[in-house]
Amino acid sequence: MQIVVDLHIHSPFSRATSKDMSFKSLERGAIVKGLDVLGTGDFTHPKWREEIRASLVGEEGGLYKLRESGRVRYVVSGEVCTTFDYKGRSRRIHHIILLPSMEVAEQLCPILERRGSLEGDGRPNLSMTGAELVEVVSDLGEGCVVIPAHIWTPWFSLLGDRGGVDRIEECYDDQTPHIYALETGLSSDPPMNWRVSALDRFTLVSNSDSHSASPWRIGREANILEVPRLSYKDVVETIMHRKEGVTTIEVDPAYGKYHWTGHRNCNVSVPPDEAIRLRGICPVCGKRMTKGVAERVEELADRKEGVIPKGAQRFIRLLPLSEVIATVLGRDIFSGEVQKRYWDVVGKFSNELEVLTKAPEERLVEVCGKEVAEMVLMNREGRLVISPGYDGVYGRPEETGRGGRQAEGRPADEEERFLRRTKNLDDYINESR
Amino acid sequence: MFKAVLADSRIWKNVIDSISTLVEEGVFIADPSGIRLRAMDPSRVAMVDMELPKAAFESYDCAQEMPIGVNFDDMKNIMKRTGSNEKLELEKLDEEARLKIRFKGKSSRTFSLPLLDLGKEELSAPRISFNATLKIPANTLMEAIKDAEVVSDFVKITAEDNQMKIAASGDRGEVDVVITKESGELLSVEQKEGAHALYSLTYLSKMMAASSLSEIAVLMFSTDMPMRLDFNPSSGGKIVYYLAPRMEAE
Repeated sequence: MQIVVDLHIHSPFSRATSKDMSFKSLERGAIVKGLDVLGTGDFTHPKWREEIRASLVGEEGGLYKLRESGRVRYVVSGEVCTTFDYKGRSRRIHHIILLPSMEVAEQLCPILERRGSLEGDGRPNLSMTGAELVEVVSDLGEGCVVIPAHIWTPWFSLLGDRGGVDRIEECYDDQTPHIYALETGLSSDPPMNWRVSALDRFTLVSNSDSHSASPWRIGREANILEVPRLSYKDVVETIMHRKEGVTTIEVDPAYGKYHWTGHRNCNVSVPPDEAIRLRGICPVCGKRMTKGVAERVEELADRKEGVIPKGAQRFIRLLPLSEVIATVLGRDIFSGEVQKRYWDVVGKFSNELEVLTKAPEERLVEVCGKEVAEMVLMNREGRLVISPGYDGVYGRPEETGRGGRQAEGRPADEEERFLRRTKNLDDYINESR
Repeated sequence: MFKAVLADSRIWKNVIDSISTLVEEGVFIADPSGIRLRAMDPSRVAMVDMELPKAAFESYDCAQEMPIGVNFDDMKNIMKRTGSNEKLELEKLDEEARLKIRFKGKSSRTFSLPLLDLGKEELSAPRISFNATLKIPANTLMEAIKDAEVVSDFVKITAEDNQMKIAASGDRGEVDVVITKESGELLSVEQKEGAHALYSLTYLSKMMAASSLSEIAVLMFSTDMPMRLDFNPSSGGKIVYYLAPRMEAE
């Protein structure tokens, strides 16, 4: 059977997360998106654990579901940040943990608590190496898994330019054999990861890392798993040992906030070759730019672009429907007009993924109108052009030739200049991924 | 069902003016404790956070949480029609996607506003520790902003030595406004350390719409961090704005 899973989300107890999140809203968001299995997120936080116990009930097979009938199944999951020194530099790396039950979570939390408070943040900071983390998690028994999170993002990631390492062993040491999968993050996709042969043996997974229950956030990246049956063991074993059974749903990596190298304050973004030519220095202000994932991959790559390694996984590239609609309407995805149109469209199908991947053209035109239907098809066929994200700025779909988002709804030149130099409140609400 | 009566309809008019200055559409959340709304402007540079508690109303009846999505231009146009000495009654039935807005004075006039299904953007307020908190008459702040607008689109606000300085410069000239405790215009200063930041006058000017609700403004900021501007109406509740800073060229 085929299931769609998103194993990395956060609870209201993580920083910069919607406070109205609950399992009820997550259930609704997951159903609207078309997800079958969702991570609980933040099992390390004592209050969220209470919420998990109050709202969910375990069922045979090790998955959880809402106490009052639920369609979505949940995996006990969380994310932690480990801080350790390596070669004289402090490394801060995020890891996803998947566990087979809440009972195991209750065993693990006191062990982790010795390395850092679990109460402050749903994604706790722990003073320990990646290897120590893997050791304590895998010691808990079968099915207890660590997956390095969004491995390329500049901050807080395994191979990230700031705070990461160059080789997986430098983080996980003798525990590296217990790492089976890598989360690619928004700003990279499988072909970028194929350029580093050292990653070949790992299963590539994609998750949303969502801080909200909204369907325009959860499941924006996800995994389609081919499993013999719906159980925790089958989900985890497929990820660990059968990567041919994992197809990832990816946004275009250019959509990610750290795809190109750039300097947000100066509105400068450059592709890898240009960034290397500039030696990473912002041509406007002379400060160091934030190295994008594309440049970082280039740095570690030992293969040319376009090489498909043996055993490469399948993936599909999709932008969320809300982005597609926003592009056509020339409005922000959070605008009322976009949200209303979104709910109108998904209400007429089973879920968003059906709209994005399966709905026939005639039906799309009938329900969404010609323009949105055309963009949905362009999205499906990978024909959307994205203006690349950089230094915390999301990439933006270009609505070429139709006078959409680029032409309308954007500020006039004068205001654009102002916005470029004015910070965005999101910078202070959403922590960098 | 949601039904609330305000003794003075102008309070709601001023609340709507204070929100609509930044936001075109938004969702009020009415629940048993009162009405609240948190929304960002489309550029996501500024945020408004409004609360009007049950106690601010003459009568208030709301058994369970109810989202009320509105177009603020439409609501503003309705509220323009209110006169002095009128009560305001807001009413929404569970099954109706309309809000009844009733002015009760010499006559009873009822408008019915279609509501929008906007979903629910779940916004968190910025979590910032502010190094300077300045209490100032709203009118004094407004005049300083108007002075700055004469020469620039941006203003530098500084808090140091128990003074507040508002400075702006541009092709059209320069202006400095100094407000001190001694003059009596700076009502209080709490300062952990000196603070200075640049902000957009366009947004600041819009945010002063809430000065019709409160004579006192409380301004909080830290160097190169967002500003928080609070208005606490005497009738109860709060209007809080957040404004992202403009970064100085490095």
